[in-house]
Amino acid sequence: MSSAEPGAGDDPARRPSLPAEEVTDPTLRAEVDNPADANVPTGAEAAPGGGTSAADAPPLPAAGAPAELSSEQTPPQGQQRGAAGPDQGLADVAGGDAGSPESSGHTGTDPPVPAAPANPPPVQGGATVPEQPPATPRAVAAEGALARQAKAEQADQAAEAAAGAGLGEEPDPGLDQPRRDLVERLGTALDGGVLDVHIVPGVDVWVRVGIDHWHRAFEVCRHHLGLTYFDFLSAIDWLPSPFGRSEDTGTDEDAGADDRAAGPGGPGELEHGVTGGSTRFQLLARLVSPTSHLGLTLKADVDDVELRAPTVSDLYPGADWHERETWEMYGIDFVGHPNLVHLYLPGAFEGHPLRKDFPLLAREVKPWPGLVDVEAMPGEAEAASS
Amino acid sequence: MGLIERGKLPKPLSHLLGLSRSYSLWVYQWGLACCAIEMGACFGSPRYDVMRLGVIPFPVSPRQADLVVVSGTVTDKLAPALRRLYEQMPEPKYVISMGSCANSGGPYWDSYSVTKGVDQIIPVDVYVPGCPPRPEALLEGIVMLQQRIRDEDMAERWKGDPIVVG
Repeated sequence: MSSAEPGAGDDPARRPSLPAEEVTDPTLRAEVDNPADANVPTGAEAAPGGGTSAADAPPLPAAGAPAELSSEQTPPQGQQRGAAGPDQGLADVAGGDAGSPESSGHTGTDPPVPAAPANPPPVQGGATVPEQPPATPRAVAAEGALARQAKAEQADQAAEAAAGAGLGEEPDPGLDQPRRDLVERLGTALDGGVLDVHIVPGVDVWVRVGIDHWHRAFEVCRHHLGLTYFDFLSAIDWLPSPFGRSEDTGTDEDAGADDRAAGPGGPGELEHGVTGGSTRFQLLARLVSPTSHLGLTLKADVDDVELRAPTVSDLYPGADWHERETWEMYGIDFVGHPNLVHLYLPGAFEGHPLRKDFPLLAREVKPWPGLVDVEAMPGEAEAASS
Repeated sequence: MGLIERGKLPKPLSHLLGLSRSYSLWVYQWGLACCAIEMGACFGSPRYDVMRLGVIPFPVSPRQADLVVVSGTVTDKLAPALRRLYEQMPEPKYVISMGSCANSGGPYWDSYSVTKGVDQIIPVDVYVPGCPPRPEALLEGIVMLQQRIRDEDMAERWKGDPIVVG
């Protein structure tokens, strides 16, 4: 209810740029007329308020947190936005509504004054506004409440209509449809190889494929999707650190406590990222199109027992060193790689240092002093309790 | 010069020789990380002007250098190369370890790949602390090294006995 004055917190500078067709929308016109009948000042704030809410609501979801959605769940994006837009818009406006109706009456009446003669059709309600003295609204504040409630609903409809019609400056329709197409084409080409997709509209897209389709996915990306630029290839070890709190948590929680309780070496419960997963190690690689500037992050689960994946260095020569690094850091074997030898590590190095269960020997001797209160190292806790 | 090697150089001459050696140090820059920026400022810029101390940062190879400044993070993979560099230098040779990483591993003390102090590989004459040290700190380290060269007993040094690190 308090959200009924959308124009209160708005920047008056935006209003002159209002597209005429937005305000000529029937719902808006009704909105403009209705409060004008009820009382004068609320009519004054209604005209710009309704107009701006319709204009401003759609961009809000994009400017704020972009709605994360999986393409499988909600392909029609316009509906999602239309639902989210007004809510966010009203919530935002409600925040700006802290002021009294009087003040909103002022801010509401001021801008249309110069605008009214310039474009009579859109601000028909606004054309009547300048005749309202800005000082009067104080008396009719309470009376305007009912009208505001009605306006809130109408603003919803208006915003929906605007979003549905594709008005506003939302970046999503322009940026996201290409990503959707990209994923769709990849999925078609892989024929069931795509296991999960995660799209953040206007930002990025993650695709998890089966490890059997790993090489084929790169082939499709390079030869058919135009993703010719190889950014990087690496892996993730989703195992919670068996050594407890460390730099990788940043909190006081002992990330590895459960695993230690479950037994030594037990992988425990793995928590995967945005596209899910089922194994401890995940490969990930990023490919970018230098023409469309769209990127795609490919992921694939690597079998827990057979830590191997097909090489993609035949498709992207730049992947050569990345695979060597992944091989030495995680112990994932790349079948078909021409020169799988140590890249960064000395030749005699034993172990895979980026695995979570790789012990940092220095810490076995001396706890990491970077933490404010240093936890007990494995072994010390038992010694202290016993 | 046989007198020098046998340690029979007269004291005034020995002093003179030490003085001249301390003011013609050809320094080899072994920059490995961010400390190398500070070292570059110290050696390459007119603001700090290391050549006024008689330190000449222009040797084209370690074979022409009297002093090497190891500035930055030495990794286990690089350690053999550093050892070989030191072995290529002619005696008498000196080493300055610049920055926390070269001194002790610094912030990477628990890394799987970083050497915990360059003194595990080669003997070090002067440690310059800091992360990274300012150029003035390196200058002070050089001055301290020069003092050490002047005070040093050349006979002992040139007989090839190991340097006492410190």
